[in-house]
Amino acid sequence: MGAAPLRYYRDRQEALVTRHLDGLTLVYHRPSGMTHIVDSPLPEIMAALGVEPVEAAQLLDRLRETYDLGEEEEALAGIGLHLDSLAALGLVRIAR
Amino acid sequence: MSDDKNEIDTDGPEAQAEQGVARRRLMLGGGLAAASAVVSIRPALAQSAASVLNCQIPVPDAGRASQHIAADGSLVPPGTEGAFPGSGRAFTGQEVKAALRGGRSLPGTSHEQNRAYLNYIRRLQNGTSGFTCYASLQMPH
Repeated sequence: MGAAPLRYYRDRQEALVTRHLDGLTLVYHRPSGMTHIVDSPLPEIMAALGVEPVEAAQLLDRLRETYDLGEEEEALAGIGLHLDSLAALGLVRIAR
Repeated sequence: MSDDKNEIDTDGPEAQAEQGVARRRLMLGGGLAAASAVVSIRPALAQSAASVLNCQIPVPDAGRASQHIAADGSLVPPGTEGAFPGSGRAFTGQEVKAALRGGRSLPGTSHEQNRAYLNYIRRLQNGTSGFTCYASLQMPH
Protein backbone atom coordinates (compact mmCIF):
# COMPACT_ATOMS: atom_id res chain seq x y z
CA MET A 1 0.00 0.00 0.00
CA GLY A 2 1.41 3.36 -1.01
CA ALA A 3 -0.75 5.49 1.29
CA ALA A 4 0.93 6.99 4.35
CA PRO A 5 -0.21 5.46 7.65
CA LEU A 6 -2.96 7.35 9.42
CA ARG A 7 -1.93 9.50 12.37
CA TYR A 8 -4.07 9.70 15.46
CA TYR A 9 -4.48 12.17 18.30
CA ARG A 10 -7.03 13.02 20.92
CA ASP A 11 -8.67 16.14 22.24
CA ARG A 12 -7.01 18.22 24.90
CA GLN A 13 -7.28 17.03 28.47
CA GLU A 14 -10.00 19.58 29.30
CA ALA A 15 -12.31 17.90 26.78
CA LEU A 16 -12.29 14.59 28.65
CA VAL A 17 -13.33 13.54 32.12
CA THR A 18 -12.13 10.05 32.95
CA ARG A 19 -13.17 7.98 35.98
CA HIS A 20 -12.51 4.41 37.01
CA LEU A 21 -15.53 2.45 38.13
CA ASP A 22 -15.56 -1.20 39.11
CA GLY A 23 -12.82 -2.18 36.69
CA LEU A 24 -14.32 -0.22 33.81
CA THR A 25 -13.50 3.30 32.74
CA LEU A 26 -16.05 6.03 32.16
CA VAL A 27 -15.05 8.72 29.70
CA TYR A 28 -17.16 11.85 29.43
CA HIS A 29 -16.38 13.68 26.19
CA ARG A 30 -17.36 17.32 26.65
CA PRO A 31 -17.52 18.34 22.97
CA SER A 32 -20.12 15.69 22.16
CA GLY A 33 -21.76 15.44 25.57
CA MET A 34 -21.43 11.66 25.26
CA THR A 35 -20.35 9.32 28.03
CA HIS A 36 -18.56 6.14 27.00
CA ILE A 37 -18.01 3.11 29.19
CA VAL A 38 -14.84 1.48 27.93
CA ASP A 39 -12.81 -1.56 28.88
CA SER A 40 -9.15 -2.46 28.44
CA PRO A 41 -7.27 -1.85 26.22
CA LEU A 42 -9.11 1.33 25.20
CA PRO A 43 -8.28 3.42 28.32
CA GLU A 44 -4.63 2.40 28.02
CA ILE A 45 -4.57 3.40 24.35
CA MET A 46 -6.17 6.76 25.12
CA ALA A 47 -3.72 7.38 27.94
CA ALA A 48 -0.78 6.71 25.63
CA LEU A 49 -2.19 9.01 22.98
CA GLY A 50 -1.52 12.76 23.15
CA VAL A 51 -2.64 15.86 21.35
CA GLU A 52 0.19 15.50 18.81
CA PRO A 53 -0.69 13.08 15.99
CA VAL A 54 1.22 9.78 15.96
CA GLU A 55 1.11 6.67 13.81
CA ALA A 56 -0.20 3.42 15.25
CA ALA A 57 3.31 1.94 15.26
CA GLN A 58 4.63 4.84 17.36
CA LEU A 59 1.77 4.38 19.78
CA LEU A 60 2.67 0.71 20.10
CA ASP A 61 6.21 1.70 21.02
CA ARG A 62 4.85 3.93 23.78
CA LEU A 63 2.60 1.21 25.12
CA ARG A 64 5.43 -1.30 25.01
CA GLU A 65 7.31 0.78 27.58
CA THR A 66 4.60 -0.11 30.09
CA TYR A 67 2.94 -3.26 28.84
CA ASP A 68 3.69 -6.66 27.41
CA LEU A 69 1.98 -6.44 24.04
CA GLY A 70 2.58 -9.96 22.77
CA GLU A 71 3.17 -10.66 19.12
CA GLU A 72 4.04 -7.53 17.09
CA GLU A 73 1.95 -8.09 13.96
CA GLU A 74 -1.15 -9.02 15.88
CA ALA A 75 -0.71 -6.04 18.21
CA LEU A 76 -0.40 -3.64 15.28
CA ALA A 77 -3.53 -5.01 13.63
CA GLY A 78 -5.35 -4.89 16.95
CA ILE A 79 -4.43 -1.34 17.83
CA GLY A 80 -5.52 -0.22 14.35
CA LEU A 81 -8.99 -1.64 14.98
CA HIS A 82 -9.19 -0.03 18.39
CA LEU A 83 -8.07 3.35 17.08
CA ASP A 84 -10.67 3.19 14.34
CA SER A 85 -13.42 2.35 16.80
CA LEU A 86 -12.28 5.15 19.13
CA ALA A 87 -12.28 7.50 16.15
CA ALA A 88 -15.83 6.44 15.33
CA LEU A 89 -16.82 7.36 18.89
CA GLY A 90 -15.14 10.76 18.56
CA LEU A 91 -12.71 9.98 21.39
CA VAL A 92 -9.77 9.80 19.00
CA ARG A 93 -9.24 12.00 15.98
CA ILE A 94 -7.46 11.27 12.73
CA ALA A 95 -5.00 13.90 11.52
CA ARG A 96 -5.72 15.19 8.03
CA MET B 1 1.50 20.44 24.86
CA SER B 2 3.78 17.74 26.15
CA ASP B 3 2.22 18.06 29.59
CA ASP B 4 -1.10 17.16 28.09
CA LYS B 5 -0.57 13.47 27.54
CA ASN B 6 -0.34 10.39 29.65
CA GLU B 7 -2.61 11.88 32.24
CA ILE B 8 -5.47 9.46 31.89
CA ASP B 9 -5.59 6.23 33.83
CA THR B 10 -2.34 6.71 35.70
CA ASP B 11 -4.02 6.45 39.06
CA GLY B 12 -6.10 3.38 38.30
CA PRO B 13 -5.97 0.55 40.80
CA GLU B 14 -4.24 -1.71 38.29
CA ALA B 15 -1.60 0.89 37.53
CA GLN B 16 -0.60 1.03 41.18
CA ALA B 17 -0.68 -2.70 41.66
CA GLU B 18 1.48 -3.35 38.64
CA GLN B 19 4.30 -1.01 39.43
CA GLY B 20 7.49 -2.79 40.26
CA VAL B 21 6.25 -6.22 39.23
CA ALA B 22 6.09 -8.01 35.89
CA ARG B 23 4.59 -5.90 33.14
CA ARG B 24 0.90 -6.38 32.64
CA ARG B 25 -0.16 -8.02 29.42
CA LEU B 26 -2.27 -5.65 27.31
CA MET B 27 -4.50 -7.62 24.98
CA LEU B 28 -4.61 -5.64 21.75
CA GLY B 29 -5.22 -8.23 19.14
CA GLY B 30 -6.84 -11.55 18.39
CA GLY B 31 -10.53 -12.15 18.75
CA LEU B 32 -10.63 -9.81 21.71
CA ALA B 33 -10.18 -6.76 19.52
CA ALA B 34 -13.69 -6.95 18.19
CA ALA B 35 -15.17 -7.71 21.60
CA SER B 36 -13.84 -4.78 23.62
CA ALA B 37 -16.70 -3.35 25.58
CA VAL B 38 -17.91 0.08 24.65
CA VAL B 39 -21.25 1.42 25.77
CA SER B 40 -22.06 4.97 24.80
CA ILE B 41 -24.61 7.09 26.57
CA ARG B 42 -26.18 9.91 24.66
CA PRO B 43 -27.16 13.05 26.50
CA ALA B 44 -30.85 13.72 26.83
CA LEU B 45 -29.90 17.19 25.65
CA ALA B 46 -29.40 15.81 22.15
CA GLN B 47 -33.16 15.75 21.71
CA SER B 48 -33.23 19.51 21.94
CA ALA B 49 -30.37 19.89 19.46
CA ALA B 50 -32.69 21.32 16.82
CA SER B 51 -33.30 24.42 18.88
CA VAL B 52 -29.62 25.19 19.38
CA LEU B 53 -29.17 25.62 15.64
CA ASN B 54 -30.23 29.22 16.17
CA CYS B 55 -27.26 29.90 18.45
CA GLN B 56 -24.62 32.37 17.29
CA ILE B 57 -20.94 32.04 16.48
CA PRO B 58 -19.12 35.35 15.98
CA VAL B 59 -15.99 35.26 13.80
CA PRO B 60 -14.01 36.35 15.68
CA ASP B 61 -15.56 37.05 19.08
CA ALA B 62 -16.37 40.66 19.99
CA GLY B 63 -13.33 41.10 22.22
CA ARG B 64 -11.00 40.49 19.29
CA ALA B 65 -13.12 41.93 16.49
CA SER B 66 -10.27 43.98 15.06
CA GLN B 67 -8.11 40.90 14.45
CA HIS B 68 -8.05 39.14 11.09
CA ILE B 69 -8.40 35.42 10.47
CA ALA B 70 -5.57 33.54 8.78
CA ALA B 71 -6.15 30.56 6.49
CA ASP B 72 -5.48 28.14 9.35
CA GLY B 73 -8.05 29.89 11.54
CA SER B 74 -5.61 31.66 13.85
CA LEU B 75 -6.08 35.33 14.70
CA VAL B 76 -3.49 37.66 13.21
CA PRO B 77 -3.01 41.44 13.07
CA PRO B 78 -4.89 43.33 10.33
CA GLY B 79 -2.87 43.56 7.14
CA THR B 80 -1.40 40.07 7.42
CA GLU B 81 -1.14 38.60 3.94
CA GLY B 82 -3.76 36.00 3.11
CA ALA B 83 -5.83 36.76 6.20
CA PHE B 84 -9.45 37.89 6.17
CA PRO B 85 -11.22 40.50 8.27
CA GLY B 86 -13.90 39.32 10.66
CA SER B 87 -17.31 38.47 9.31
CA GLY B 88 -19.05 41.52 10.72
CA ARG B 89 -22.05 39.50 11.77
CA ALA B 90 -22.24 36.28 13.73
CA PHE B 91 -23.16 33.07 11.88
CA THR B 92 -25.96 30.89 13.16
CA GLY B 93 -25.43 27.29 14.22
CA GLN B 94 -27.47 26.25 11.21
CA GLU B 95 -25.20 28.10 8.79
CA VAL B 96 -22.06 26.73 10.41
CA LYS B 97 -23.41 23.20 10.42
CA ALA B 98 -24.21 23.35 6.72
CA ALA B 99 -20.77 24.77 5.93
CA LEU B 100 -18.97 22.17 8.05
CA ARG B 101 -20.75 19.46 6.09
CA GLY B 102 -19.43 21.04 2.90
CA GLY B 103 -22.91 21.72 1.62
CA ARG B 104 -22.68 25.47 1.22
CA SER B 105 -20.23 28.15 2.25
CA LEU B 106 -20.89 30.52 5.11
CA PRO B 107 -23.10 33.34 3.79
CA GLY B 108 -21.23 36.16 2.10
CA THR B 109 -17.83 34.44 2.07
CA SER B 110 -15.48 33.47 -0.73
CA HIS B 111 -14.13 29.92 -0.93
CA GLU B 112 -10.88 30.73 0.88
CA GLN B 113 -12.60 32.98 3.38
CA ASN B 114 -15.09 30.25 4.20
CA ARG B 115 -12.25 27.82 4.88
CA ALA B 116 -10.41 30.29 7.11
CA TYR B 117 -13.59 31.03 9.10
CA LEU B 118 -14.40 27.35 9.53
CA ASN B 119 -10.85 26.72 10.72
CA TYR B 120 -11.31 29.49 13.27
CA ILE B 121 -14.57 27.91 14.43
CA ARG B 122 -12.95 24.46 14.72
CA ARG B 123 -10.31 25.96 16.98
CA LEU B 124 -12.77 27.60 19.36
CA GLN B 125 -11.90 26.93 22.97
CA ASN B 126 -14.05 26.67 26.03
CA GLY B 127 -14.69 30.19 27.27
CA THR B 128 -14.57 31.75 23.82
CA SER B 129 -17.78 33.19 22.47
CA GLY B 130 -19.44 30.62 20.20
CA PHE B 131 -17.73 27.56 21.72
CA THR B 132 -20.83 26.13 23.33
CA CYS B 133 -22.76 26.65 20.11
CA TYR B 134 -20.06 24.89 18.09
CA ALA B 135 -19.84 22.06 20.64
CA SER B 136 -23.59 21.53 20.45
CA LEU B 137 -23.42 21.20 16.66
CA GLN B 138 -21.18 18.16 17.06
CA MET B 139 -23.63 16.38 19.25
CA PRO B 140 -24.80 13.23 17.51
CA HIS B 141 -28.50 13.04 16.92
